[in-house]
Amino acid sequence: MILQQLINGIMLGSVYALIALGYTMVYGVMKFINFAHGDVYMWGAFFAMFLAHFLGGQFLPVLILTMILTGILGVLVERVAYKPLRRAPRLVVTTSALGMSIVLSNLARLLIGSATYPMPKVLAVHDFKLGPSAVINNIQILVLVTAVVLMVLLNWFVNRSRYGKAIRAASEDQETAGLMGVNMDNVVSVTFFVGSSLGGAAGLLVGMYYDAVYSTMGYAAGLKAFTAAILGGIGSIPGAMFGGLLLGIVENFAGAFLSNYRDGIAFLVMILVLLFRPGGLFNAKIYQKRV
Amino acid sequence: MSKKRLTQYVLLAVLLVLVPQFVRSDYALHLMIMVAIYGILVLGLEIILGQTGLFSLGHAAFFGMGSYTSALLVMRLGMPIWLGIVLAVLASGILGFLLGFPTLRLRGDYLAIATLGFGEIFGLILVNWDSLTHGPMGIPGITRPEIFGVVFDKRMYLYLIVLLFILALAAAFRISNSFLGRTFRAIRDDEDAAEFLGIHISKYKILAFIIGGMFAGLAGGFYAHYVTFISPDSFTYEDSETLLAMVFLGGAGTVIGPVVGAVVLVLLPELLSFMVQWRMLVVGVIMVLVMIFRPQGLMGGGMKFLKIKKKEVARIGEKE
Amino acid sequence: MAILEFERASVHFGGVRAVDHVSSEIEQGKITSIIGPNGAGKTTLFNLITGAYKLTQGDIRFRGQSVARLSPHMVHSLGIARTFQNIRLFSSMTVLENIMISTHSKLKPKVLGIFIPGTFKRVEENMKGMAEKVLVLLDLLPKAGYHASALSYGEQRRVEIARALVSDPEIVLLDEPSAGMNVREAKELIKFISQINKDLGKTVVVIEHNMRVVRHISDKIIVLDHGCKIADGVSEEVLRNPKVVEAYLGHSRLTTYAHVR
Repeated sequence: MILQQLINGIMLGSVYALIALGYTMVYGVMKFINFAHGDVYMWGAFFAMFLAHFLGGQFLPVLILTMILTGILGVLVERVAYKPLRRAPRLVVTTSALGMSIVLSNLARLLIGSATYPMPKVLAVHDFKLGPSAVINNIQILVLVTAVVLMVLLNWFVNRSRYGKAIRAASEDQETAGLMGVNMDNVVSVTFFVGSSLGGAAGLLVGMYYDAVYSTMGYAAGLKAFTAAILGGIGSIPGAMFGGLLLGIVENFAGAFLSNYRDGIAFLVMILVLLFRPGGLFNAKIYQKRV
Repeated sequence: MSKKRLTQYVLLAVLLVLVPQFVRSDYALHLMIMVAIYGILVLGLEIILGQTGLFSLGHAAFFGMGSYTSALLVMRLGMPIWLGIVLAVLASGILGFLLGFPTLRLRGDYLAIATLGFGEIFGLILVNWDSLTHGPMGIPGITRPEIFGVVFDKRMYLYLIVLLFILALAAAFRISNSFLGRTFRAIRDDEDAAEFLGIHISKYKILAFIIGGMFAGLAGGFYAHYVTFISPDSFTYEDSETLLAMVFLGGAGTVIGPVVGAVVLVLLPELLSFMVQWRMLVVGVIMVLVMIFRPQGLMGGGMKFLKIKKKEVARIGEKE
Repeated sequence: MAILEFERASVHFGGVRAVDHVSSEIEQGKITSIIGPNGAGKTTLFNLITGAYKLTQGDIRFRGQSVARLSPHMVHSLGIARTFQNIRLFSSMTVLENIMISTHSKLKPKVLGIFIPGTFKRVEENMKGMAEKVLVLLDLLPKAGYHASALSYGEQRRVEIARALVSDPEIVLLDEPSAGMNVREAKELIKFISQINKDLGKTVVVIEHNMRVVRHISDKIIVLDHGCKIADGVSEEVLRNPKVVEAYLGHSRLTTYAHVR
């Protein structure tokens, strides 16, 4: 029972972490909460559903194409709703992001439908017994492995590649990075592409795991992933991974006892973190009063 | 009061009394009632968001608190409706305090997301506290108010709600034109500076939430006794987002702007009937477009706080 | 008589000792200048007095009463008002409204009063009257209805000072009031600061880079460097102190010359 909850928690947590990375990368560079990210993730799940339908049981091509399509969607969202507001106050950008979130989720409802759709089978399901009462299936293993591989790749990208370094520089100090010859437009586009493509991957994985895709799935998942991002300290990539896992595990254990309030637990964690630890558990000081 | 002002007021009053008399369609009466209810509701958010700059995404919770409080008190305890609504206003004010107090330190989008979380938790309680709220089934058959044994019909309800709306509007204008409104706007523009100038900002931020909550509670109480059926579905984050769009569309910080926003966003989807399905999409598109092209809103003239900041010119002798 | 006393006042941010063991006094009715190179901790000292930061160690007393634990609005209502180095006027308000905000500590208006017609009118007129008086003093009355952002830089600085004066404080803390002013404006400022001091009887503490201003107005100078007090005393003496000359000129010759101009 405990082992099973732990497995489910780690599973769910690794997906939260993938989505949380999108929030945290954008926050790092642009310093605002991209409310639309949860809905980009939802679109990722729909892209995956269509791709899986046409390509059949080929996991890797579906994953890669989903990530590319979702990445492009993320860049489009940035171009339409945030780019004209590059120098506007944060309140304005946040509102625009909120509007974009509503647009994306309602477009999905109007264009595709408000039903819950099954994900076409990418793999046949096999169960593996782990001890007397814990079961793990190959889809869960695949979800976990994919999430870990993507995070390792991201780590490499951010720390080693040219664009990754530019993103890190822009997160530290946008103005200086700009003066040093970093093209901010490109950095922002790459940030949105990478963050959104990870969200898309999460969409595919969640769709496979629950065998369900629907137009409002971005809302709760987005909020929870955001919670994960602040748990680990928003703007910090390892923090988002850690926060995702922690939230997934906490939610699973607490949810086992209070099933009706399962979502409420995540929200409660969110509020508590915002109130008492807005800089995350490792407390990056972002709220020092400055005069 | 000048003679001209007086004639204007008299004319307005005559119009308000006469117009409903000529409205024959039930549907038109219904729309006017909804506009007035949303007008009161959005004035509350105007005080929280427009005047004080507190990005609240949980306004539907105050609305729901008002509706449920009055409905439950009247249905369960047999309280008179008028008392129920008064207590609904108080309850929503208390909820404003409960939300405002812990979130004092949060700013901008952090506050937005925290209030969103509060709203969600409020919704979950409505759904899950079955024994009190009837859960997702909601509360049907809420009584309409009556006076001298006559139950209010739509036209009478319209008179009542318009009267309340005018009172609410007058109160909002009075707040905005007083030291209280100035203090709210000072907090919105620069809360640290305001504190150094002797403003007890915690007190005023909580007060903004309490006053905003009370407006929403009033709207909620009358909403419950008008539609006679409420359920958790009537008070979701989508409603909070719609209210936000009303405020920004009309012009945050202008008092009258958000009311205009409410008129537009209540009527628009109804007038273009194919849009009912598209309502939320329209809300989202409006939010993005307004932010890009007219962040000060339709009625906003001098709302500099939402305009794009000019790059600060470095001056000799200035450091940091 | 000392109206404001620092007793080993210190504040540390992480490992940085922004203000370190500063002990000194501000004399009532005098003009005291705080000088020192950039990053010496001058503004931080203001922030400590006004309650923005909490002291790590030591104490600051106003009329013998500790202000170390008070929040900014409480310090203000005791009678210590300040301006900001980077002008912080409320951008959506007029000059008059900007100044009216600052009358809270003095008038302590009641919220429910706004719904009582007589009270509402009285409070508003009180606030307006107080603000207009200060505007006359600063020669800003014709600009009362302007949006703060429509004013020139020098005028905005004056509005800041007006905002500090309107609550009739005992101590006025001015954070680089001459920054960004031209020579003529700076001269007027000197005159005006003495006027605040002599005619209104205010105790003035001013952070200043412009040595001409400092020399002209100061009764006393406190010199900070790297968060520590390196000298204080009567102005001519302090400015000739070799330690001060070294710290000040040695660190930032360029800025000093830029100001002397």
